[in-house]
Amino acid sequence: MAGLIEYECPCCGGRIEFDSGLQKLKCPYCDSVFDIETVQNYTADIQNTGQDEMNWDTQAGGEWQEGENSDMRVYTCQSCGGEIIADSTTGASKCPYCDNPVVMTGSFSGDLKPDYIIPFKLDKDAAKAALSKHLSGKRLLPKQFSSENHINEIKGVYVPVWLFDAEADANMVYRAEKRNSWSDSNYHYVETSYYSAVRAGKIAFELVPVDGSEKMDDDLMESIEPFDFKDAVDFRTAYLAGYLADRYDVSAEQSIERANSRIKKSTEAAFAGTVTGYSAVKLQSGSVRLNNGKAKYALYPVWILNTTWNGEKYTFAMNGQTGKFVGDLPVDMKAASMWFALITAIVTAVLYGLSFLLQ
Amino acid sequence: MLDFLICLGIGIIAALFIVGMMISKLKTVHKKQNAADYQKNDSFRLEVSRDSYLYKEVKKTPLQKK
Ligand SMILES: [Zn+2]
Ligand SMILES: [Zn+2]
Repeated sequence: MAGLIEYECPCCGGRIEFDSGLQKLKCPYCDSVFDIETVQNYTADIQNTGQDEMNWDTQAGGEWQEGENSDMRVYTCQSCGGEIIADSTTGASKCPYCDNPVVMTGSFSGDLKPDYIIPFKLDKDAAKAALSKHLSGKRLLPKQFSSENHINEIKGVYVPVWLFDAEADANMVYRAEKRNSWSDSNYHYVETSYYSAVRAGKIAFELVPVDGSEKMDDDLMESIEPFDFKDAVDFRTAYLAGYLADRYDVSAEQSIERANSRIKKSTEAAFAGTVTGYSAVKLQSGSVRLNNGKAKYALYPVWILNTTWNGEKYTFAMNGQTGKFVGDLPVDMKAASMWFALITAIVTAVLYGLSFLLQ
Repeated sequence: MLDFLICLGIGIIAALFIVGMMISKLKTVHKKQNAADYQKNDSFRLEVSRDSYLYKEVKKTPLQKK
């Protein structure tokens, strides 16, 4: 064997040495003793995990046919700068993101054509009913908030999303431990055995969506997931009649990172879930390589309502396919303090009373 | 007096918990951390699964004599 190979101690990470008396490897720092083979395999496993890698094909969207988008107009919000698209018969008057007036700034051209669209399944009445339900049964919601909402302003918007497919190759090494304890007449013993667990394999994800609109809040869009792609159809402009469409202003390349991190989390969770039978497991080293990503461009249906209350902006969104409704609400601090005082008083009184009865 | 303070402490903790739950009902917007909804059916293949023993440690602590 050429050169001197250095090994790290699996226990403390120090440089480990061959002990000729023991015919084994011994760590001079923590005194652990190992079989040569154990340390060799361990070192090879750790080195084999490699680096994270992402290979994507971000070619999404298509070209418009001649005249296909001639009926579509671009409206620009004078306040937030958001650009929305509506066909000439539908038109647009107010910005769905900030509720200020929009003006038509020209006909629509230049953008990519969406590959797919999930048409609206739920209408405006369903969206209004869902909002009322969202506001009901919440004790700490200020009473005036519900009554002051201009519920009729709720708008159906097709939000641009980039969809990413990926096959993940994972190569992980976990450090796992088993604990055993017993006592004799003088001592309590805790024995911890350490193991190295190697896991490698594949897992695939498809159609992971990333919001392609700057104006549409990413967290809000992710909160109304999942959309069911089974209802998606090839895009045709006729689906836009009566609705607004948001114009994408975040490219597929810029959106990849968000999909990556979600896919990586799920990949890591899937492999970590196979390390069982231990009292503790932690990831020691690992890599996730993503391949074959072919991006798609689609429009997803969302009902949006923006309101301002006490100078704060509140946005609600409903999944136009499944009806999932979200939107953060203000907290009535006066009511919260009142409930806090009331519950404290009742619980304290009941417990104190019981403590007398039990004596 | 001590009894009362303990009861009050439990009361405050209970109130914090319940009011905290009421406040969390008002917050429904959460960033999605994972892609679990988009995992392809039956795509998970574990190709290597190897556990090897490394070393052990024993810690002993004296028992308190009763
Ligand atoms: Zn060591
Ligand atoms: Zn606007």
